Amino acid sequence: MSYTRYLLYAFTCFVGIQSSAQSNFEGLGESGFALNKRFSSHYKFNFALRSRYYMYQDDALSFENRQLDFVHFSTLNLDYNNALSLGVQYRLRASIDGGSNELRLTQQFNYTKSNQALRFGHRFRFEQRILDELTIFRSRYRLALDFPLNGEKLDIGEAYLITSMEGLLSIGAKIKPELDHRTTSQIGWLISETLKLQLGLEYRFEAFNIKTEERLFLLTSAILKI
Amino acid sequence: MRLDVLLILLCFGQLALSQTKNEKEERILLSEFPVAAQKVIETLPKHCKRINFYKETDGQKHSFEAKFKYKGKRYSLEFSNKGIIEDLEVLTKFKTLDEGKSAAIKNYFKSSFKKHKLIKVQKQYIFNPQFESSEFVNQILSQKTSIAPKFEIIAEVKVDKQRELREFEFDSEGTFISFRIVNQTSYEHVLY
Repeated sequence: MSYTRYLLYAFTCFVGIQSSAQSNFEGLGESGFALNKRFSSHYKFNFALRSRYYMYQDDALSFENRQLDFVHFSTLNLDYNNALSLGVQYRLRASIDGGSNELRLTQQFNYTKSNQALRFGHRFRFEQRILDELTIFRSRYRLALDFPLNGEKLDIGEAYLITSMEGLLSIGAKIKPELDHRTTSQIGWLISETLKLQLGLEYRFEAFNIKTEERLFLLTSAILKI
Repeated sequence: MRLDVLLILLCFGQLALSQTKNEKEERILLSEFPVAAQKVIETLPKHCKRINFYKETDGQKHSFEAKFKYKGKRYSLEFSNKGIIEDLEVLTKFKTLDEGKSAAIKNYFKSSFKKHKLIKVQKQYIFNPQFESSEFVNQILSQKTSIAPKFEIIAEVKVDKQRELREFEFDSEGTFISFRIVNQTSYEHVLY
């Protein structure tokens, strides 16, 4: 635990130094609404709608819509700790900011391990991002840590914290291999048995092996269990 | 339009909130413990680490719990509303149990369920009023107790093609006593 904490501290300092030195920085917001439904102890699905918008670009505050995502995930729980998921996502961008629409297929394996109140999540994802003119194959690994802020169990009305780090590798016939890194920290509230609200920040280093672009996301979401 | 959706959502949330049972576990200060329980806590060995205090509410019923680490083991000491010890639980690895007892427990799971996965194993020492509170605790901590522990095991089992999380109780010989279904809470973030 303390090791992870030190790593997080070190990384936060690193982010601070980097962001003050770079000028190619953008600030965006992403708001989402997700529905989760469990059909049996083995199978559950997730449907989400997400909207992304610019809030800060070209060194000035500005609001501009960027895209809408329609996401579906089907998850097969292998047992208490392991789960396999398949996802499909459609990104609507052409009619919003002129970028390419995208169809994304995702295969995912997730492993969680709990230690008292702390829960570690290891997520492996493989994605095929089918854009108008190219297809990008992306592999990603995310280490997440989450825990309730009061006690060892998350009760209704209580808050929880999720932090995660993710590394991404994108390859495609028409692009140079690209490496990305994302650090996310979110606070959530279990409002009722069925509703959660989450608010957080995500810092992205995109294509840091080519020419780093930095992006800060303000994340807001509502998650409803039906 | 987005605001409308959010408002409807919040209304639903409130509705659900008002219908749920008042079951809560919260972290509190030692000074909020019943006085009798505070006195027991004061007699704990100095080397107890990471000691935390919790209050559990289930409807009108309150209980208190102190969790701590001692010599590498995790203990949980439970008190009634009046500060009288109910039990002391210690987290254990299944493979460290006595062979005869672990075989009996293993046998129960194998013969009762198609599949099972042990999630958490605890030895449970039920308080015996013939002992003094601090004597009861310290004898267990120093592993000199004559009380034979029961076993409390949380396991995921497969029943009628569905998986269920259950808390099982076994007596000191490893014989099955009872079980209850553990609510998986809504501890599932959209992340997973």
